[in-house]
Amino acid sequence: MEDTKPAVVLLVEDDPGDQKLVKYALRFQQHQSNLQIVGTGEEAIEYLRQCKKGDESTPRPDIILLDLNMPGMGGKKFLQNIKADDELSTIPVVVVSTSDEKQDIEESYKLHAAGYVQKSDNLDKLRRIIQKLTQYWFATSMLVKK
Amino acid sequence: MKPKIDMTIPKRRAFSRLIAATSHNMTINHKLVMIIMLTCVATLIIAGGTFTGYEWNILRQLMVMNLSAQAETLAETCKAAVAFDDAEDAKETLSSLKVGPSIVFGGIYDEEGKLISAYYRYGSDRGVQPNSVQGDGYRFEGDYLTVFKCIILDGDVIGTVCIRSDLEPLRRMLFSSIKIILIIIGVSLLAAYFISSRLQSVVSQPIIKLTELAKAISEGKDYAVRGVKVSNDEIGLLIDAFNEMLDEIQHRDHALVEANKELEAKVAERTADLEAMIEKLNRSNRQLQEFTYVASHDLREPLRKISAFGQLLAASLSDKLESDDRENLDFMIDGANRMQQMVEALLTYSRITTKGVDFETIDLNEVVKELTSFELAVKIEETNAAVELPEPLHHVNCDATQVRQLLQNLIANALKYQKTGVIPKITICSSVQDDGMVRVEVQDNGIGIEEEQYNNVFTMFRRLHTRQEYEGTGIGLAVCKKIVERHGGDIGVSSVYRQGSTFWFTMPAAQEVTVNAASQSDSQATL
Repeated sequence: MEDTKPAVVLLVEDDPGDQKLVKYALRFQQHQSNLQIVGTGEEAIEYLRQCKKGDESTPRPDIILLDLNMPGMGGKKFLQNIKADDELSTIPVVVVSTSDEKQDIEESYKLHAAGYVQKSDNLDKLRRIIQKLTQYWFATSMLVKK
Repeated sequence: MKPKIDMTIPKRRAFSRLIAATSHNMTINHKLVMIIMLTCVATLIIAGGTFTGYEWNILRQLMVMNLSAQAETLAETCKAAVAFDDAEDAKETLSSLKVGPSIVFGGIYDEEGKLISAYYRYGSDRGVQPNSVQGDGYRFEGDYLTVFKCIILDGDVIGTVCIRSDLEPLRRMLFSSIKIILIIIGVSLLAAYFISSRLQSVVSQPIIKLTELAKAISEGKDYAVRGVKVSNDEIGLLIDAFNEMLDEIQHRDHALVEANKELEAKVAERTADLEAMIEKLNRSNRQLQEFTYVASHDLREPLRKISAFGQLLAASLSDKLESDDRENLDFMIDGANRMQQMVEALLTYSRITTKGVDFETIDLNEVVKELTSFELAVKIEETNAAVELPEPLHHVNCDATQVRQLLQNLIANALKYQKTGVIPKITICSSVQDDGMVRVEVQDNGIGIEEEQYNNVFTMFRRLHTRQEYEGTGIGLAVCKKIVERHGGDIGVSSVYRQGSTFWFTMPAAQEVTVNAASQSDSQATL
């Protein structure tokens, strides 16, 4: 039986351009997705708090796409917070960042990131990677839901 | 060589030289006592000897006078006996000689020298009788003193009296006086020793003090102390001269210390200046590196946007644009892409210094193997190239990521700069140099480089070919040069134009492996 309920993607990204590019990348997706966008780590925390309360307007994300370099608490701090929360720690977080610094990649995985994607200048490449990753995690989260 | 003043004693004073030689290691006060004692001994011996000789003479005179008086008395009393040739009477007269204990013989002779009567202390002659008779007088013969006195009656010599005494009492008296003299000499010497031991310090003490002072100064280097002058003699002059010398040394020492201080201050000042300048240079160098890194890092973001949205725009406008506009958009996107590549390369370049890690031992064989299996695998397959290592490469001590980048760039260049239709052949070999560096050579059969371009190829953004001929940013070899420089090595190229190039670089050898390689070559040499 095909699950028709769209998968929820929470994008934590401050740059409107990158928000749009991710939106574009998710458009040609086999699986329909419900993209929720917040601009900072603090907003994401607030979103998840609402979602814990069972608010309809803030559905629980199946996957979080996270930028590292953001004003305020930043991606790593957010990652640390969410992984410390027992209820939220199972949500896969894929880091999507401009940085290809070894230090950023290693730290992200140490904080239990589910993947690390470098924002590519090649639109097709970016789209392919984001699609593959989200598909994988959607499938995983669907299994959990069942 | 320093001039030295001869302080030895002139040759002709042999005795002084002997004393000087025997007292070579003595202290000055012992020397003084010794000299005083030698002088005293010499003078006392001379005085004692002279006195003894004088006394001997006096005693002899006294004995002669005494014996002569006895002979004269005897000559008077025996006149009648001689005149009448009465031997009995003469003998009686002679018996008075018994009272003189040292008189061994007494004799009365007639005028012809014939013995009328004789007295022997020991009863008989026993060789004590004189051989001949003479006139008034005396003589010392052997152990005896013999005195003769003529017997005169009415102006005529009628005979001779002879008395002979042995010299025993004379000797006894002489011995006892020698004994006394020796005792006096002994006591005098003791007194002289006692006095000289105490008084020598008047001379020696200032010298000893001066010596101690000189020793203390030479050990302690304190030129501020001075000798105390206690007398106006030569030692006083010596102390004056010594103090003057100390003044001079102290003055020079002070000047030297001052000059040294001044010099040190100058050196410290210059060092501080230099350090400040180095610090300033380092700071601006760091700032420049930081700037390059930050600029290239932050430039990537907007560039990526231009490129991504350009592509998005190109996709959505693909069938709505005129071919000319389409071409313009493509140029724009291409430009953004190229700029992105250059920024990326610049970032790589600046990371060499800002993100370098500590050196470790690296097996270059492994590095080449990995590069040809992964990073360069596609290109090698496309070109059908052969990458060969005739001998195993030496291990080096370096930054793992950077040496990988270095070899990747060099091999990639060797694959890229090829004549069309030629199968690339790349040979990599290494050797250990005398300075402990490993020299690695990457040889290809590519298009080669003209000699005047050898140095230009390592300059940033300097390209020898158009982008249509060979793709590239012109930063790859600049990165290589910077990596090698960070490792304290050199990089260079030699080439036969149109036939191939050999790029070489040097890197510090891994310590333990160099030893192995050296021992291997040793063992090969002995084979």
